[in-house]
Amino acid sequence: MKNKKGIEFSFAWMFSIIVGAVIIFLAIYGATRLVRTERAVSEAEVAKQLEILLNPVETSIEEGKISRISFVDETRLYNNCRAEGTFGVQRIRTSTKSGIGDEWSPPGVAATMFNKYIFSSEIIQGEEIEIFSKPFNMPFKVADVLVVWSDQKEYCFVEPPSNIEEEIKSLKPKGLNVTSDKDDCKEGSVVVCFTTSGCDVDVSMITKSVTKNGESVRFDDSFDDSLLYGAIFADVELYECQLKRLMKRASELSLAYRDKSGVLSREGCSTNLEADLVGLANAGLEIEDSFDLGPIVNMAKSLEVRNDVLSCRLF
Amino acid sequence: MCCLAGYSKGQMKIQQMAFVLIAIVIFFAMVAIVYFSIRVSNIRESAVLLREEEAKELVRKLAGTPEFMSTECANCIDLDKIFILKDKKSYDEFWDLKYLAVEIIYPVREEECDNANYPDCRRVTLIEEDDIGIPYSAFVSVCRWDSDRYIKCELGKIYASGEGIE
Repeated sequence: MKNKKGIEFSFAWMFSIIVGAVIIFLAIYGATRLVRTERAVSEAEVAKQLEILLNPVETSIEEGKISRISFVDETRLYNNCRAEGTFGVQRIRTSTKSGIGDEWSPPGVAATMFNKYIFSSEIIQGEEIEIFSKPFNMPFKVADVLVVWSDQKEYCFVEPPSNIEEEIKSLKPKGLNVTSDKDDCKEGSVVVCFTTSGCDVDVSMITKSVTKNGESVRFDDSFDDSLLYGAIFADVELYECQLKRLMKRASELSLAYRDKSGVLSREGCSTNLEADLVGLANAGLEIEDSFDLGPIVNMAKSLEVRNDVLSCRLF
Repeated sequence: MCCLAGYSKGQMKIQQMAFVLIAIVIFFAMVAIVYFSIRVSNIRESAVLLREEEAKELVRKLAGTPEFMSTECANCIDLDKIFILKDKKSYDEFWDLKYLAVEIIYPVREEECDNANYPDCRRVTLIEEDDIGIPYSAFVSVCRWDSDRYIKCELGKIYASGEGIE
């Protein structure tokens, strides 16, 4: 006889299977969304903490300072610069490597800064970042240039000027070496040549220019060599943007010094630098790219000379 | 079974299951609400802490920033420049703070600085918004050019408070 016994598949069974599946789907979907949100929150927190840590790395009376920031896991920093507005804006977003889900989460909410100038590649990736702070003067202190690179990148400076060589040897930044022959550079390092060409980065101290990937930018080292480092380490687009932002801040500071000159005049000490300061302020706002630096530098030099002979110096 | 005369056994089970499901959904919804309210409050708290931390770090370094620094001595601030910044609208959002002020604590004076009483005044307030909390402070030398043509430095304090979460 044929066995006609089977599983009774009642409505109750079907109902519970469908509803169970919906609940499990919703639970998995909810958990995934939750993990994604938590990662975004964590990225935003890392970016904000980084912003806070960038305050003590700035210089006060030093000519250069090296700082190191370590992350818990391998992290990507997304450096973004916008030159619009009174001071432009520096944005930093982070993305941390994870073993769950996507290897790299989408970058979190950006930390926004108006008073920081980070010169680096667009994406910095590593567990540790090196920050080289240098004051930028034009002719008064305008800001600190923060040159940033990661532990995954090495730079090799071939025959740099003596002042650069001495500075690097005394500060000993990690991943930045000086040599007299480019053959001595470690394999995989970014070779920066100061007296020859054909390297990853070519620096000309005569034309005051830095060339990489076929693109050139200009720098000026009349007051300090912060822009030289910035031009070597930053992507061309970022360098030009940060330079514009620095000039905007120099412009605002020029106007502040012009007003200070008015205060000093009331105290009986006239400086007669008002017109020059307004000229510098206007020139700073008109800069299109680094090739426009020349006239501004000349104005700044003349201002410095005139300020130095004053009995009540403005800066 | 007088009262359940209109329902079959199967219908009863479905109704029971539906009630259990509704109860489960309500339970998970309540758990989610509690979780998210705790999480949001934690995020808010950590954002406030980060803002405060930023203010603390900033107050330590403000004396070295170009807008504050005096070229006459290390870690001195230039009162003339700060007084000028008071009226500069361009600096309103520059520091991302709720409160920023410089106060001369010795010699003791009373009033907020303005064009009429400067420099014989006590405080230059650069930023002051509502709900400033307790500002962090740091001692500094506050210097300015005196009418006798020398640099006059007095004992002062910088106050800064982080921006709260709206």
